[in-house]
Amino acid sequence: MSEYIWKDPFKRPLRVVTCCPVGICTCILTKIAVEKVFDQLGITSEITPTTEGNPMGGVNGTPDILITEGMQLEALKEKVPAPIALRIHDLGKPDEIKAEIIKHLLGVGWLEEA
Amino acid sequence: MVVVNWLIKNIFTQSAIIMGLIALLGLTAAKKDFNTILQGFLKVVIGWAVYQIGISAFTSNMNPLMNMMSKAFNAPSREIGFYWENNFAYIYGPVIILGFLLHLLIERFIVPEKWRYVFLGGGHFLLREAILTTCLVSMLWGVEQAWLVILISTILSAIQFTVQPAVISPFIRKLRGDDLMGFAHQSSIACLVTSVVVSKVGNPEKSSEDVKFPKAFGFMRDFNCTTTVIMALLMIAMTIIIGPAKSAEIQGTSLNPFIACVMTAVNLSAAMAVLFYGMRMFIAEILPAFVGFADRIVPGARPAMDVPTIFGFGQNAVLFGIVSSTITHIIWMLIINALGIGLIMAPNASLFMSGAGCAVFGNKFGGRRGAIIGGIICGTMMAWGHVLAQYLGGDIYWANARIGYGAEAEDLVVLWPLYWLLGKLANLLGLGA
Repeated sequence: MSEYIWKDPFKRPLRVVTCCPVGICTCILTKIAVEKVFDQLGITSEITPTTEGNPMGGVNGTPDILITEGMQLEALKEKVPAPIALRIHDLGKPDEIKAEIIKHLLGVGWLEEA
Repeated sequence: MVVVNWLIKNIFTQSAIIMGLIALLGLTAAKKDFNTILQGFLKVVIGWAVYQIGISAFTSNMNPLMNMMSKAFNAPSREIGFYWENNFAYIYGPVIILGFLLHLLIERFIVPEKWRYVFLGGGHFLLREAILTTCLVSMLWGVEQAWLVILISTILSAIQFTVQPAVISPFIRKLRGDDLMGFAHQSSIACLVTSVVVSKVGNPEKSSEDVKFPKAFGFMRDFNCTTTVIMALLMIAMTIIIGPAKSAEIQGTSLNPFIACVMTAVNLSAAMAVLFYGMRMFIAEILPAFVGFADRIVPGARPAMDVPTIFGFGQNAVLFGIVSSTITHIIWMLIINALGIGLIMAPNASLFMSGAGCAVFGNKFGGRRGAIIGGIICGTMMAWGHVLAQYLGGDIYWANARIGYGAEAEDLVVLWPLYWLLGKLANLLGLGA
């Protein structure tokens, strides 16, 4: 049984963008990593890998979550009006990634502890 | 036989369909539902088409600059192309799958756990490695049978995927401070040389991370902006050397030639954005399936990942590296071109990523001095690597920009000469021409 309850605030798949400097490499690896976390939490997500230079490129609507592995989180926050913006510090640490995502989801009330 | 010929003529000559079939295979093996498989197939085919549009725009904007360089340095006129990539997907397509699967099997059954990494350089590696090996085996070695090119290239790719992360592993362990993840990028030879050199001449006490950069430098971290600025400056410099009238003639424009230079640079950057957008579309569908293969065949193995995954270990170093590698490469470019040793061009994407990666290693082992030296080593290895590849490959280098102009340090100073030597050996054994 899951430790968390997904409140499903939007009644649609969660829109997520993952960014990296050029947009052909780490953003896709980040997508794979965070997709696993959302699957574990039972959250249906629609994750779009994109580039830091054009973080909204190819995204349908405003993303709910912005995730970057790079260094431009503050600059990206100004470009993307996502309620949650977070940085993955280390793709080699899936537990940290999961904890960081859960922390932010709990913070905005989209997720509740069971 | 009629059916086979029809398939070869109409299906297997279409790069987009070959790439779509790879996605189809990967998603089916990953047991995805029909809707996901169909969507994945179509997105890969469309992504490849977008990528081809980007390539076409890239070459049409890059070649005027190449012609201006040729004129400025009195060198034979050279234009870049994507010959192998556009025409031989039925050869490199299978290698994308088979090379990676063989790598996984080698990791699973042969490599000791200490050195075991799954090469996940970002997806782009699958394409570039397959194109590099098949193109060189076929065109440089002269092997004519497609099945033999596929077989040899599969083995070479798998060995490269296995060996590269293992070689750099002692340094990535020190950089990260743990052994959770490896490093898989074609800059690794430059990163390795940087780590060794700056350990002797650097000063780790003075870290690049203590430097406060003015915000005005922030744009340098944006790849599209750096490409536009560097290319515009290069074209303006060439226009000054060859004269505005000649520049306008080469560019085929009635605009003021200096304004035309800036617009060509903008268009070149736009072309690269389109090219990367298309690439992202098909890689985003293919790579997860490959990660799925890795999870099943080598469960629990550490991933070796792309260069941006280390940027967090030296955020200022990244900027030091981009600047110093680019400046170094441009200085070498002017010297090499002026002396007629070769005709090289600043490969922005490679310098951006590899220069940054080398500087992160440089900062770890030699502080801010090490970061700058890392960029210098990267720019130097790439400049002379291009000269070497031009010498070894001749027209092959120019006709195949992915393994020529777009090649990284590892490709240029390790794989090109290594595969060239292996080709000589293969010829002695009666393979190829």
